[in-house]
Parts: sequence; C-alpha cells; structure tokens
Amino acid sequence: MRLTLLKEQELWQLSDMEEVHVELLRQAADDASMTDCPEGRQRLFPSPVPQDQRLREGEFLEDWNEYVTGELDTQFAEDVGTLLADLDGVEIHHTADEEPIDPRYLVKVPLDHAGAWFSSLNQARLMLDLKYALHPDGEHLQLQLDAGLDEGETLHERLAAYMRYEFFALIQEWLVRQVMAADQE
Amino acid sequence: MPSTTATPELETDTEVTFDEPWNVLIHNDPVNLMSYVAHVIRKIFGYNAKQAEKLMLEVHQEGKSMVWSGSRERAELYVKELHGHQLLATMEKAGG
Repeated sequence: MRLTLLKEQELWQLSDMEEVHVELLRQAADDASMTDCPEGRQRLFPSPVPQDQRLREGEFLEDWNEYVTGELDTQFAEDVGTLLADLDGVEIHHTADEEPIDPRYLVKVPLDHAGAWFSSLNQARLMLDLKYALHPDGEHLQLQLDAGLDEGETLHERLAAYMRYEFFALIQEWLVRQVMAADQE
Repeated sequence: MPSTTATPELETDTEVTFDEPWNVLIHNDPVNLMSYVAHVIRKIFGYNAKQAEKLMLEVHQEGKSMVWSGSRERAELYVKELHGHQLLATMEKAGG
C-alpha cells in the first residue's frame, strides 16, 4: 500500500492496496460504531468537568449532554459516512506494463476529507482500545492474547483487533504529518 | 440664596470581586498520537509549533496540561472543540 499526497489536484490517495487493505478500511466504520462497548461511547463523549465537580455542575452537564454530545455524535457519524463514501469510489488499477496476479486497488480522497478520515480511524482505535483492553497499564500497547477474553471472543478476533489498531494508526500518522499539518505551515 | 452644587456620592462596593478564571486541561490518553495532540493544540489555540510541542509533552509525561485560562464561556467552547477532536479535556475553576 502506498500513500501519496497530490497537492496540485487537492487530493491524497491510497494506492497499490490489496483487497485486505480495503476490507480493513471498511471495517473501521464498524469499529467506530461499535454498539457493544459502552465504555467506548463514554470515552468518545467525556464529561467536560472532573468527577469531583459533577455534582455542582448538574444543570450545566444536562445541557452539555443534550446539545454538545448530540452535535458531536452527529459530527462523528458524518465523518464515518465520508470515509465510507470515499471507499465506494475505490477502483482496481494496474501499472502500465504489468497486470498483477492479484488486483491492486486505488482510492482518491479530497484533501478536505482528511479530517473526517482521521476522525473515523481515531474513533475506531478508541473503541478497539477499550473493547479489547489494548492498554491495560495505561501507556503502552500490549499484546495480551490470552487475558481477558470476553465470552464468545476468539483469539483470532483479538489478533485482528491489534492488526486493525496498528494499521489505522499508520495511516493516521501519515495524515497528520503530510496532509493535516500542511494547513499550519 | 447661594447656589449649591450637589456633589454626588461615589458609591463604592468593596464586595466586588473579579470572577476567577477557568482553566482548560488536556489529559493524557494512550490512543491519541502525540503528533495529533500537538496539531490540535496549534489548530485550536493558535500556539506556535514549539509551544504546542511543549504542552503536548506535558500532557504525555505529566498526565495533563493546562493549555488555556480565561472566561468560562470561552473555556466551554474550547473543551467542546477538543472533544470534537476526540481529545480528553476538562475545564475547572482556577484555584479549585
């Protein structure tokens, strides 16, 4: 897979993707919208005040939950929609002089969709982190294959979650350095 | 009758105190990329790269960093923006 910035065309693109890459990206939408992980939702919509101030900020928090959380919920869902719509435009591509045995895929993304892609991949990673306890001691990612498997959760599922988490992070790091940071230069 | 000029009494209120400012804090989390945290700090608060890097490292190494201080209304807006970028942020009255 190759990530390229095409400034003149106001695009960035993911090229030379195998089918698995495209599937992983589509999976980000499902991960971001995980409904069986309430801790993830709490993380996406955290309280604006510390725990010890929540009692005295009751009315403010009610308003916050009604207006701000609702607005952010819509915004995050729209970001995921943008990623999926861009992925609908994925195309098979070949190099000029050779036809690969396995097809390769290409998706072109407008520069101003970079934030939505980042948001979607970030939502997915936040949810994966909490669902699969990827950082049990706080800071460092730990591959705990046999610990804390929920009922029905398989080792394969957990390994796949680690893989997606790292794959999404790789694209995010490139996006923030090459595309999003360009606005600040 | 001599003319008199009324001298208005100047009212003073010794009880008036200025509102304490509110602080906006960003808290560390293990998922958000360091480069992204610095990017968001620059984008929202307009700090330069060096200042944003310093604040990001404070978040990373000390668990949190106070990134802005001022009126409550602005603090609410900043926290909302930070949450919109999926960073963990809170606001609290300066001095507790």
